[in-house]
Amino acid sequence: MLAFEELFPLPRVDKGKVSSLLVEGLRYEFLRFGIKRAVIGVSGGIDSALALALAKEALGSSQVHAYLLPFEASSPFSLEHGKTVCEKFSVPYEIIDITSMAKPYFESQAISNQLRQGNVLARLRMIVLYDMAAKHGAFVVGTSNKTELLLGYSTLWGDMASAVNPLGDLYKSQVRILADYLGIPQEICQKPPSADLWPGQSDEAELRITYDFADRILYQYIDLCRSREWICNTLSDLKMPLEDARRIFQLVRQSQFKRLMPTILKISQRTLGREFRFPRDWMS
Amino acid sequence: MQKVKLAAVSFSPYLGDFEKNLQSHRSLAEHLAPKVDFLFFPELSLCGYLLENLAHECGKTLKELELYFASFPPQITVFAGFVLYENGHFYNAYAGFSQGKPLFVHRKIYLPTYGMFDEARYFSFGQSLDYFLFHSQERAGVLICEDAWHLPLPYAHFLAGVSLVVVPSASPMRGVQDEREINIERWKGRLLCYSESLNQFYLYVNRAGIDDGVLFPGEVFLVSPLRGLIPALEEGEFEKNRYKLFLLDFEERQASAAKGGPWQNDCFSLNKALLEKSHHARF
Repeated sequence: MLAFEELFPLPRVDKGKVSSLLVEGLRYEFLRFGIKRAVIGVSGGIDSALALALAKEALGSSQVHAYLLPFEASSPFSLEHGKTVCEKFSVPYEIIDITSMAKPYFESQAISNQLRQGNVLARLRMIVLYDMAAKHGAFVVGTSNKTELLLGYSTLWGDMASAVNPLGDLYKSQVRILADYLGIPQEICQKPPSADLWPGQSDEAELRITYDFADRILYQYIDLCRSREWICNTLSDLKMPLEDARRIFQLVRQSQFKRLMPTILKISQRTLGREFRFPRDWMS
Repeated sequence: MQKVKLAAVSFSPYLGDFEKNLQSHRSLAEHLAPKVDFLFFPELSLCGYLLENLAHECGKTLKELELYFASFPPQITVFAGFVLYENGHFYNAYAGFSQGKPLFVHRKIYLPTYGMFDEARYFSFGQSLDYFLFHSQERAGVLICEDAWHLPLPYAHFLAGVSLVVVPSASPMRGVQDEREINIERWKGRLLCYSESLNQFYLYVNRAGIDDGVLFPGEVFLVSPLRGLIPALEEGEFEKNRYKLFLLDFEERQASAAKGGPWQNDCFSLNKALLEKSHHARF
């Protein structure tokens, strides 16, 4: 019997090839619309660090505008790591504290629920990034990886919002490999992933699944089209519990709405997105 | 000549939830078994229409379906739509099950892949058109939705002597504000025309509900070659799904034949020669 790691391998990534493809692709997507500048929200985590490194390679450091957007409850390490990564890649950055935007709203609406607060913070950051993009004539670069997008571990119209997302087809484990390859500082690569939406938050604790396990299951389920039944039977054969895999399937299904445009109730013969289908890069 | 009582349900499936839909099919079969011999569901009734990649998750083999239908009431034959997995292919299929055994399976031949439709991306094309014996002596055939928009198929059923054509459908409402709205009236016009030209009954079974914002009209009707649209014997609702009961009297076809109609003079060899000639003229 093969071991779990052999039956469920992590998705592979050719570091040199993939990073140069993403850099080329990113440059092409910007220039085809005549956009030369990028805006990125830098959280101090590995995903935004990788997006920043790729954008810098694609457009040049002076064309990338990084924004560090702390809230009063954000970890001080997040800000420090954000600065570290910007300095490492010589990208100019600005710190805009969003406490003054968020707090009056939280107080006026008596919002103490952490999830609601976290979503509001993510959406306020989106407002700032899109406004800064308008100021600079820039595109917002996305920082959500494939694992997060599939598990729905991101805020709709918040950190999911971007013009182009170079990380959207990379699992978390692939992000780690590329980040290491592109020289993201080790303290950022090694720290536990956190959306930093409230003090002490950890992605894996909140999801109750490790990224390593999620990537192995998702790679079989999504990329190789293995059925849920096959995955569960194989885990059973390995005498492994099924709860985590089932939770992954449930999260993927429940978050599908986040990965699509809102539902349009069809009335006409040419409904947007149904019969009216044109590419995003229309005539560019 | 025999009279047959049948029911057709404008079923609203849960998208991609085979188990839940199967349960609803079973409940409806149990509810209607005392009243009718045959029960018809719409296209892809066991899984929903806008499946995309869910089509492959919903795929079942005929053997699996036999097991599922074994628990249905034995006195009623149930026709349902599903994704059939067979020999490495997924089909948009429709079958009748009696005491757990499939009487007949039709694999959709014309998969619409234009406008809002994308079926050929997910399904393989059916390759045959057969009929089955309905109520032991009448021949019946199936045309799944788009199949009925391709003229050779109703004609092929006519040539095979089919007297009842069942048209399970998931045709969505579209162009509600347009003059040429694609709606039930257009389906009625089409099937009335076939019925009158080919001396056949047509049973149309569309679904209800909404998949991803696409609305379905939820309409069923039966067309007789003698009387046109046949009024339902009874209409009802069970677990939020509406159904109609019809009395299908095959004698009406005989009466229609006695009256006479264009089908009497149909000449296949002449049609074939004309088709070949126009084909050469076109290409």
